[in-house]
Amino acid sequence: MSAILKVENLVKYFPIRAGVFKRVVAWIKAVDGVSFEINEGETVGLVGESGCGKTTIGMVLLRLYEPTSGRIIFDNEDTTYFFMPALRARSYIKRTYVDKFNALLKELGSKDAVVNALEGVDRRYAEMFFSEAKSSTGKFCSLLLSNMDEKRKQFRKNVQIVFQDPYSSLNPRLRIKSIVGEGPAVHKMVKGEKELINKVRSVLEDVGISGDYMYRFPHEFSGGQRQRIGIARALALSPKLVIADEAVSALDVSIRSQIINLMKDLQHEHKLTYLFISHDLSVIKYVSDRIIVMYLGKIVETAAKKDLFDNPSHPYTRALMSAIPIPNPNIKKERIILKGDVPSPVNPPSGCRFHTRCYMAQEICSKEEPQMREISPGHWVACHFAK
Amino acid sequence: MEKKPVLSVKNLKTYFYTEDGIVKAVDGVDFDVYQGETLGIVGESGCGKSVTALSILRILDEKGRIVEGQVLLDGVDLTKIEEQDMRKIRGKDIAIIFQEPMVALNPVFTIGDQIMEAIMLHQKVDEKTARNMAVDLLRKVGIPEPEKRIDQYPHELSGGMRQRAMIAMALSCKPKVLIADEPTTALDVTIQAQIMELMKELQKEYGMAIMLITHDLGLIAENADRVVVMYAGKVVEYADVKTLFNDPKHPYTWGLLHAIPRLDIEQTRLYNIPGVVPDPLHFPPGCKFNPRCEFKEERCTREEPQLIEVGENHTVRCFFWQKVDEAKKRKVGEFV
Repeated sequence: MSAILKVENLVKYFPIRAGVFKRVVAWIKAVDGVSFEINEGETVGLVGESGCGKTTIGMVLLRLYEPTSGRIIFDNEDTTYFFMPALRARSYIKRTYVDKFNALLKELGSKDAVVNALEGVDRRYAEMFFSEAKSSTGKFCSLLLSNMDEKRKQFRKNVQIVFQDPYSSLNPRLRIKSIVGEGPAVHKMVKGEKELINKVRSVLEDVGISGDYMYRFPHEFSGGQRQRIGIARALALSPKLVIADEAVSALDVSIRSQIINLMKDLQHEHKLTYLFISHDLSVIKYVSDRIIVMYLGKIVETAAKKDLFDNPSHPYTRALMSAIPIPNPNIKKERIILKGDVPSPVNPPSGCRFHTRCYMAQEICSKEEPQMREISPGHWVACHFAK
Repeated sequence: MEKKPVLSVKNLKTYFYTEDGIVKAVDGVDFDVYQGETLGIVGESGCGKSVTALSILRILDEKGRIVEGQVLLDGVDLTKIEEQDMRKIRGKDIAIIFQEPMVALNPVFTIGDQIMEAIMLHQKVDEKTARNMAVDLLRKVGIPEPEKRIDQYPHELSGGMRQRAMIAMALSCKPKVLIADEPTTALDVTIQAQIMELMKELQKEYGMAIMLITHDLGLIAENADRVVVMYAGKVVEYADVKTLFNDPKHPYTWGLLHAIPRLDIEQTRLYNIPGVVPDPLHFPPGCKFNPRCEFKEERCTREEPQLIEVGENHTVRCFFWQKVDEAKKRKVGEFV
């Protein structure tokens, strides 16, 4: 399996402005140095409580927000600079690649050695830099920045989102045909009205809505049906990655299971890759292959589903698991009740961000930030005491 | 042991007279709430669980009317008494906690003002005593620095703290019945665990009855003693919590239990309850669940089933509940 998405050290800060001149007085550290990968065809679950930055990650991946720093590699292409203004993009490319290649060249001596020392995107870009661009920064930037419109369009087509609220995420003035058909038309995936209608019909029928309804408006559908339409809109572009941001959280229990089952079936049929963002660990457990647990802008634990549930190693993961009520009155479980509320991401606690609420916290936790450690293959934890 | 219920709802019918027609939001609901016990009411949106709560307190909007039935609080029928007598009961004998504390609290008054208002309305105490009582209540519900918090406005508190303040307000007159309408739905799970723990402690201390209204079967399993399952304005199943979860008899209850993703068992496929909750203006004839029921027969589309007793304190509104027993032999978690 190869990684379709690779996120490195992603940071997103939002400024808080105040005063007459709207000076920046503080930063909300919504996402603060997050790295992870998503492999082709798998479902990664991103779970955490409100304010942990999970939605911000989704928005940054879609580039509805520009990342503050970090690198996002999608489908073997660095997409970080895709939506930056030209000057910023150039400075990003120089900072991330040119400077690195030149430093490596000094260290290793030959261009071939530099290329061989690198892998993936870096390697490809290094080859491009030394051969095609003849080590010229300007030329290299122009090469990467050429054909930008086309690249952006491809990116938009390949990464799609399903939103939480099926009421506000569909334009009430558009018919279903326009909502679902707009993407394929813009991307010239269909020719002419007849093909468009056929496309919309087939996508709608994929998600369990009769094609005859395509001339209706969103208000004529129930919440569950609207969520199906939202999914159809994403699917119509045959995306490589679908981000589902709390896609089933607003739905009733019986409708939720329909939609979850549908999304699983579609994944199977269309070989989709999902990033499933939710606050509900039970839903995440059911849909995911791998799970990422976030707390206050950081990843605290990530593992394959089975490893995470067999051996939850971060105290926050354990608390989260124990807090979820089990629909079985025969089980009386030990509950870990966390003290207090989630601290503000403007002034996150020093050291380990969880130490203010942690039942295992010791002196070191407030002083030193724990790094991610691999405690068993593929199981990473950011806690000083994880075994 | 024969216990007497504190609150008993008998054949309650609440209809809304809208421009489009009559919405039978609650259509013949019966249950009893006992002292010191928690009654869970579970159902999906539009099943009438919240309207039941509003009807008990008689705080429906002007389109809604209680057309039939009784709400007996210690033998007094609340649907018959004068509005001014009802005002003496609201907040004193029966208190309610709503889902969204930010909406339920008044943003222009401090937390203290709002708690003291309830105290001074129902108990003959002066302002100073009321304030002291309010501080004690805030401390009791686990709000740190209550002397400072009492003068703060709702927006200055976090979601969990606001819900604690709501609980303090509801408890201010030691109600006999506390109605909790989705009390933790807007909160994070770790905060939900705190609030539920708090409510359990306070229930033990005050001995009040709690009506827990929620869509979350997990919360019901862990907190309720008896459970009412509602669908389309009617009670479809009523049993004690263990019986309901171990031995559900109504196809809807059984379906719901297998439609939820669970942490405690492995599932490869969730059960699909097909279709949607019916539109209250156009309920199907016969059993209201019949269009979504996999066990339905011709009779279900013609005739509405009555609640039948299938065990001790276990009633079900279904003609063919034995079929659910058959279905239980299927392998859990693997529905194709």
